[in-house]
Amino acid sequence: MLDLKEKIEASMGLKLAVVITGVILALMVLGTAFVARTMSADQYRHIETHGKDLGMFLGKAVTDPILQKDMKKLESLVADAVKTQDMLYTYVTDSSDAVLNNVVTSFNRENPELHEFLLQNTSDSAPALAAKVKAQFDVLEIPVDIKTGETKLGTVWMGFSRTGAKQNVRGIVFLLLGTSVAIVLALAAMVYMMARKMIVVPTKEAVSVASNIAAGDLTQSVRIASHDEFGMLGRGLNRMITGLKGMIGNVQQAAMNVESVSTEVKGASARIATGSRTQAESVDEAASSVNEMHFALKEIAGTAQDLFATSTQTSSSVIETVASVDEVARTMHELSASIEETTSAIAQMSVAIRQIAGNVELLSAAAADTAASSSEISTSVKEVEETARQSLALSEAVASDAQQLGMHSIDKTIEGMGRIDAAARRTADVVNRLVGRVESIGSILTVIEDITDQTGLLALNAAILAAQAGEHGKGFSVVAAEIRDLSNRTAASTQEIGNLIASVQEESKVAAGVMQEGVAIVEEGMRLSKDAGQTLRKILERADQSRDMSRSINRAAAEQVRSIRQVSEAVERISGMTLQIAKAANEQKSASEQIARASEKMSEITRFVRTSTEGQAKAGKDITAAVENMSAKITLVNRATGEVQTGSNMIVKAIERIKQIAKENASQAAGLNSAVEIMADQAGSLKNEIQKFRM
Amino acid sequence: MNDKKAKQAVVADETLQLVTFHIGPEVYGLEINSITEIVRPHRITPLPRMPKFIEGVINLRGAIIPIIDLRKRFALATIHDNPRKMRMMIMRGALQGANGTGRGLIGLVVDGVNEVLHVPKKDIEPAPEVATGASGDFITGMGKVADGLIILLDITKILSQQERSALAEAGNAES
Repeated sequence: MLDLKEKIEASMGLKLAVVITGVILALMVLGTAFVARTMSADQYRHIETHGKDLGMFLGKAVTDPILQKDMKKLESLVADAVKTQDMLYTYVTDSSDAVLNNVVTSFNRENPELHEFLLQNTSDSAPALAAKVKAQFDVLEIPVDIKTGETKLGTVWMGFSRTGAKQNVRGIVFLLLGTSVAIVLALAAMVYMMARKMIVVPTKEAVSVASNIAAGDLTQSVRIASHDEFGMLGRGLNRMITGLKGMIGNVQQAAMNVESVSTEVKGASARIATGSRTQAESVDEAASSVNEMHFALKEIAGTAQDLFATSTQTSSSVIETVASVDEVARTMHELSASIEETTSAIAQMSVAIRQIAGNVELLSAAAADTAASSSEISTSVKEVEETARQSLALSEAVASDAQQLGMHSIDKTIEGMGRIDAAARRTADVVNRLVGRVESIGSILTVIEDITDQTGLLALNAAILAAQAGEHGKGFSVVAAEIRDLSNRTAASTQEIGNLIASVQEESKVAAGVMQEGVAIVEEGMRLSKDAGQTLRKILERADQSRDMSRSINRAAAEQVRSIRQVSEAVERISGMTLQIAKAANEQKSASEQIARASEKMSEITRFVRTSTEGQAKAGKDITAAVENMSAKITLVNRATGEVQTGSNMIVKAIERIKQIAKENASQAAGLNSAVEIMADQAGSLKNEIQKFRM
Repeated sequence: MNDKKAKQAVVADETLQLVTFHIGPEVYGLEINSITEIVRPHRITPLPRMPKFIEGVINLRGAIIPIIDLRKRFALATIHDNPRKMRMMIMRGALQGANGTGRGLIGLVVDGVNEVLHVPKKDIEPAPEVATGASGDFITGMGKVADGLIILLDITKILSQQERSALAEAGNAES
């Protein structure tokens, strides 16, 4: 079974055949079944219809016998009827379901099976037996009513066998099935054959060519002559083969090239590898020598540094020496300078001492003089004393006089002044009142003037009216003229009064002014007398003061006498001292001369020292210069070594880098080499592969 | 008596009766007939909507009289050196008609009124030509007197036609 399955799977033709067979078979079976069904139903219906017809016919036929109760006829009719094709039994019942015919005649004994059956089973009742038969056989029972008009006489019961129909149907079915199977098989075989021819063969052809190609044989081409899809496939394959041929030819060529190139590359890479190795070795050598150089340089640098340090030290110590020499020189300078000063000071001192000696003599002379004059002072002082006493007496006298007489008269004067002042004030008041009265007169005058004006106006108006009245106004015009005169006179008088008043005002103003002056003068007088009083009091004070002063002068004079006595004593003492000083000064003079001589000698010495130190200083400077020069040079060397060192440092670093690069190179070369080897292998295998193709 | 009368008549015919007044240093004269009254200056009440040549009005015993300041009118500076002597001259004839309570009177403010003069007509010269025209024709002539000239004015010409109508209107509005 599995074998078969595999076989089917391997063959296109078989597949198709199987599929078609299966499908059509199924369809056929379905169709047959459907047909069978329809047919059997049809058959049954036919039986039914036939049965019904028969029933109706029979019914009609037995109507009369039933009515006539002709059982015999009935029986014969039924017996005839029961012999119909497929009829198994027939019996008639009346309207009360009582069977009318004999049970024997009810059944069709010409049916062998039934006959068989009936031999086994008997019954008196046709329906009961019919029921048994129904149970045993495939029966279609058809009852048909017997009717006459509307009345039902009875029922005809008929039982038909369906087996005949069934057999018919079965027969047809078999026929159909057989036909369909035959068709299917024929179809399948045909399809198989066709598939084989049209599909399988070309495909196998293509397959064989493809396997050839796979194997590397490009010489074969596909032989398919048809123009259908397989033909196209075949032609496509052929085209593919041609293309492949071309490509592979190219690839072969390329592979060969690659091989040759790869051999070259291999050689080259080997050379690179060796080259880089040698490079690395030489770099190492260089590195080591550079390192040696570097260390040597470092040593040099170190030595240079030491040298520099030493030179610096030397330089600094030289400088110190020079400095100290300079200092010595300076100190010498200073010393000589101070010696000079001392010398001059000493000279001055001698001079001074001589002066002192001189002065001392003068001093003794002066002291003698002083003694003489002091006695003179005493006498004069006594005189002063006397005078002071006299002045004291005088001032006391003055004080008492002033006290008594002066104040008294002053007071009287002040009193008098006061009275004058009061009188003057009263007069002033009177004058003021006068002025006031005059003013009131003035105001009255204004009123009078007003009246005058109005009167004048009245006169004027009267005149006008009179003129306007013409003849009739003449008398009135006289009156008007009179009034006018009157007002004019009034005006004139008013004017005079006004003038008088004005003059009176003036006079009174003058009087007031004069009064004021008088008052002012009186005030002045009062003030003066007060001042006199003040002055007198001051004089009194002064007199007291002068009395006090003369008392104090008295006392002072006494004191002076005492002090003068003291002074003369002091002078005596000074005389004694000056003699002593003179003696000492002489002694000093000789000593100072000695000092002067000594200092001269010192000056000489210092001059000598100075010149020598100057020489030294110069020498020192030369040394300093030389040392500095050396220092400079050493600094240069130092710097140079430093630069060299940095240079060598850089070289070392560079060498390191080169080493690194060389190593990398070497590894790269190795890598390259291996890659090249691989490539060569690949090329070789490629070539081999390509070689496989036969074209 | 008759002689006197005759003489007086002659005098009346041959002389002009004036009332003289002064504004500033100049003396003017107005005919006596046109003067109603001379009074001291009353308080002027300025009225709104009056023409501007009218200073205002005064109440003279119940009569409302418009006042014109002649100083202003003659375009002299408004200085009053002697306010006591200033007068208002109440004139008639400047206005027409008897509207309101004014009865056509106006008041002129002057610096002072001098006297009533009789000036012989032969001593009156006509106004010089330069003083004619709209602003000058109120000067009717120049009167020669002992101590100078009197400028004679015509009250009816003091106000121009326009001014009169304006005043009449205002007067109408008032009443």
